[in-house]
Amino acid sequence: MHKAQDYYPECPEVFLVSLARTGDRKAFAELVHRKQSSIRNLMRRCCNDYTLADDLSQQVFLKVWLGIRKLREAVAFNGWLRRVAVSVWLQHIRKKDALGGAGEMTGNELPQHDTTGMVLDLDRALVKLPNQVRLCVVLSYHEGMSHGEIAKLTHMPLGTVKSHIRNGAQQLQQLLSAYGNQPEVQNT
Amino acid sequence: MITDNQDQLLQSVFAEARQNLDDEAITSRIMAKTRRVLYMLAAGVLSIAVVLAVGIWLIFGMPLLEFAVLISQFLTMTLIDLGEGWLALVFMPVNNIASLVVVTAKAIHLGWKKVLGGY
Repeated sequence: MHKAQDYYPECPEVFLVSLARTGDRKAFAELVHRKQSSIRNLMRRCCNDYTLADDLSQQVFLKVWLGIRKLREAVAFNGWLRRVAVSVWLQHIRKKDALGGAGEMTGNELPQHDTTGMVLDLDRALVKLPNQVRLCVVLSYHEGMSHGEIAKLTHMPLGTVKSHIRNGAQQLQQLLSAYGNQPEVQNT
Repeated sequence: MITDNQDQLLQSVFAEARQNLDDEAITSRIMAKTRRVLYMLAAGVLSIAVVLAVGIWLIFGMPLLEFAVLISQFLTMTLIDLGEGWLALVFMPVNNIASLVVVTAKAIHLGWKKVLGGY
């Protein structure tokens, strides 16, 4: 005899979100299973410390669990999840700034395993950008968000977002220029 | 100024970096935390409720009891005097102020729903 929960892995996301809103923990666990990779990737690009990225991702999902009942429409889940992730990251930056830059990453903390050279190089290049610039660049290139969406999400003026992305992309391009000559990257 | 080719290069590098990370027990860690939060919330609510109940009982215990007795006496007052025969016994559940309050509340609720179109 199969339980309804056995079918959760095949359920559409909207259905799982609706169930999670009613307090169904199994449905929420399935959502976490599906979304953890994208949130952890976003946090890894933002903070360049994979342990910290996992801690922040856990905070994100905890906030989502506590607030999911207030989510009005299940279809809005992905955008809301991203908003929570960005707000957790911004809170972390503010706390770090309040401590006078304690825990500021230098790139040396990056793990030397489980990642390709390109990922490491990207993370090392990203770590050289200021926090706000890095966030705008990651949201634009990693999450594929428009400038307007980033401005709305981060509460920064549109002009500032545009200039952050332009400057950040130029710096990244210089730091990653070696990959411009590799055919496999150019073709992807 | 960044060119389209350079922009595409960055996009491809970011796309390459988007790894499919496996669970690594993160889901179970998150779910354990959610369980802990639920227990803490429940314990907090229960503690506050107990403290409030004890406090209220200590401060207003007897006056509250007297008030409750007064209210119950008022609500069970008969609307129409039917004497002490079988008719009074039959109509006893509805022949009181409490049933009048319930019927009035229901009527107001229905009227409100009608005015607001079901909402």
